[in-house]
Amino acid sequence: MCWQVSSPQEYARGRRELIAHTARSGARLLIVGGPAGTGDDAGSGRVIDTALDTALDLDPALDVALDSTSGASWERPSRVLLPAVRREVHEAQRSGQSVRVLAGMDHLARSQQSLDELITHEMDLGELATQGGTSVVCAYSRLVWSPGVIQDVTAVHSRVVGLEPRAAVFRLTRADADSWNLEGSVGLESLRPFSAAVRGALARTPRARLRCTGLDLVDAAAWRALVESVTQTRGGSLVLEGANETVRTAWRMSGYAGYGAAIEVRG
Amino acid sequence: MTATQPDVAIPGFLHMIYPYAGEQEYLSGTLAYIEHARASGGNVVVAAPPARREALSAALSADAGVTFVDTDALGRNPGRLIPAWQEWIGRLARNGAVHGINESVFSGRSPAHYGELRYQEWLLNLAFARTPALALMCPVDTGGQEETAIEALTRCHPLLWDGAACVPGTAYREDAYVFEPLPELEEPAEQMAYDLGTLHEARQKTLGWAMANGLPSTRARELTLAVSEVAGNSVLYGGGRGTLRLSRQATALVCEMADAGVITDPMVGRIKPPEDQLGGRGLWFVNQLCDLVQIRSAPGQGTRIRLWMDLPPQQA
Repeated sequence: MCWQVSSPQEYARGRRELIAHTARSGARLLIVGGPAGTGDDAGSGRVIDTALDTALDLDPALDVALDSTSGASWERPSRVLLPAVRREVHEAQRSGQSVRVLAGMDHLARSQQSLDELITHEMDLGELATQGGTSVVCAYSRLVWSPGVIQDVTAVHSRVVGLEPRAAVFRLTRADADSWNLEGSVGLESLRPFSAAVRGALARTPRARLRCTGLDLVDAAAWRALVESVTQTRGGSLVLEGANETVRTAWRMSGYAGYGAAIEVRG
Repeated sequence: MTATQPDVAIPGFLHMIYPYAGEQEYLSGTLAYIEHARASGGNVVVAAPPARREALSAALSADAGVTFVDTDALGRNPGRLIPAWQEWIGRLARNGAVHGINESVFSGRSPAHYGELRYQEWLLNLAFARTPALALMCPVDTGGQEETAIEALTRCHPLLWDGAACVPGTAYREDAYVFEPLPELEEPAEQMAYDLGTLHEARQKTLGWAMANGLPSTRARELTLAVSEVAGNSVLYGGGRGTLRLSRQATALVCEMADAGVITDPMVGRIKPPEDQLGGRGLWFVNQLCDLVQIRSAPGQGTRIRLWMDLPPQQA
């Protein structure tokens, strides 16, 4: 889920509600980072001991500090934290607890980061959500991130929340081990997040299936992006399943079936 | 006047009009053309409406070696004719010269359709200018048509088939094609400005309007895709923005898009992109999806593109 946060107060309120709700449900909550300038205890680096001892803060700032002498990149927080979060999730699941993750993206990534990198981080976090009983909320502060970036990253989230949230016009989310759901319409305005999301999907499942029952249309520029993404992925192939007649017609008209990209479009 | 026989040594592309009146004259003229072609060992392709194909087929022996192609399968958009001929010629050209009969139905067409059919005839001269051995004879039924309409068609053909031989045409205009002005659309039901950030909104508006006005969902989505392609071109090449107008006509829905760009290639969207070429498919999609496409573009005036989608008979 992508949470578009308008103010530190909104984040603090939502965070409290999530902690309380998680406590009531008996689940375990991991809080990773937090929006910049919240003035809250998010990102403080201490483990917070809330009701039922279910919340754990993992602070990316510490990892950055540890690595500052070696010119740490901003990728460090997510590289370090993701395995830590994954361990926490596995541990909780072994003890029979479901897990919720609140990821403050203002600390896990930087606003100047390329969209490709950002979507890669998001898809890494999304992998957690595909594991049974885990839900991941990615919080983006509107004070930090440009509206376009916040809109683009929603393409790899299954839900978008916040005050008047802006959502991408397509969505690519994990369905199961080797397949993804592709929904909405993909046009010129979505090429950057679409290419990034498809490359991210192929990086995780080189022989991927895209379930397209919720896909309305794909324009010529987006077909090109799809073909380029597949041909640039060694061993990459895509099967678009459940495509409507318009999508199948557009693929046939494109003639890209003869281009050499391993793409198949089925009804 | 020097007669030119369309033989195997066709000197480039021969494009001729054959005005005829009645089936008898049609058959005598086309059979004479086929006879000349066969005598020179060339391939003969007949692209004509079903009734004409049946009449010709009945008059020819079974081993005449004539290939009949179904023009109905192309749909109503004249913009699909040139790539269709390219495909037909591609299948046969390696076996020698190709002699084609290219008949479109002009009667009963709307003025917009008629105008694009005529433009298509003119564009054939550009499309096949470098084809080494192709003759296209275009029969035109003069019955029920204004004399001015036949004259206008004659201006698109460098040559004339007089029923027995190919002779130079006298009215052909080699200079730039002159379009008649587009008539104003009836009061548009919807209008919006678009740019990159509102492309999706333009698609949603088109889809909702098309379905509300009686277009079946698949056709409505195809019209939406065509609008998306043209609007995307406005964003990329037309100054970054444009205006979309949606207007219901008597038998069709029309989407008009205008922007500040200029299209300089008259063949754009009318040639099938090579499979090994990435990109260049937007207006190709548009011509394959719509029942009629009108493109008007000039320096200082920008570009206006109208996409027509016929309504089902019960909605028209």
